Amino acid sequence: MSTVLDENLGRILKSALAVEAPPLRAEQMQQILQQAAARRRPADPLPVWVIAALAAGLVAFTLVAWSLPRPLAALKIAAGIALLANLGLSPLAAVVIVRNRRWSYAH
Amino acid sequence: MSLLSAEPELAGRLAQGDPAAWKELCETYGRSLYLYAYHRTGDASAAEDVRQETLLAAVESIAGYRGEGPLFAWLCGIARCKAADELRRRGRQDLPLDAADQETWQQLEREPLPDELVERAETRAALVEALWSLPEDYREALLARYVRGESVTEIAARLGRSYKAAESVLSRAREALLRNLKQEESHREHSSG
Repeated sequence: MSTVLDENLGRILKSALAVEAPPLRAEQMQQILQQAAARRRPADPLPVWVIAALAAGLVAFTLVAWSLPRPLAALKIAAGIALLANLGLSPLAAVVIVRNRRWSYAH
Repeated sequence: MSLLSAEPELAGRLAQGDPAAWKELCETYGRSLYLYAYHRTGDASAAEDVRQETLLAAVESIAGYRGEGPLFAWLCGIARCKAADELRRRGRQDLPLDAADQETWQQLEREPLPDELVERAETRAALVEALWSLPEDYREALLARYVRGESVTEIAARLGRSYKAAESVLSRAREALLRNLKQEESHREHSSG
């Protein structure tokens, strides 16, 4: 162990730490926590597995409806409308989600 | 788990805006950040302002922290700019980025440092940055040995290790501190062109 190094380290460490360092005051901490909370990234609107389960449910409903006998034609029509509406709205929803995320990262 | 090994996880939580993570950061580095700011500005009230502005700026820019260096060194980078702004506002000059620091670290192992060099604000600020960028056990060992004047036997008892192991921790801590000091210096040289 070098004596010179030891002596120098002792002197510069004591010199650098000779100042009394106060902790953050409660209101300072509060301001930081509030700002962090304000910037908290919003959680995903729906987890991916929920979206996948909903899509699978919709497809299953459509298949079951189309395999039913003729007297239940109304159900077939409802299933068809639900499927088409979802196919049409999904790209729109995706665009809205992506734009919202870009906005939240940029601000 | 040492503080530095926990940093990527902490940084992830900070980036998500987790208030508990920000509280942890403030409690861990609040005092050392004040020390750094104090040495950069030489004024207690300016140091408080710089610390607060640094932490608020960190909230804004945590997404830019890539984990390439210690979190405290990243905070010091912000604090350096905030301290320069604060000094400008108060009509004072920022600390010079001259070559005297290089001299200091080169002399450290060779000869007793002159008092003037030990008491330079740049030396103190650089040391605070380098010290708090070390893993916690290294920092604690250095503080125990050189500031509180504990013997290696006492440090070994505190760490719950053998005398030899404590000596080894101290030796690695000294090397890491010198490495940090020299790295900071080369970063500053690059950033000042």
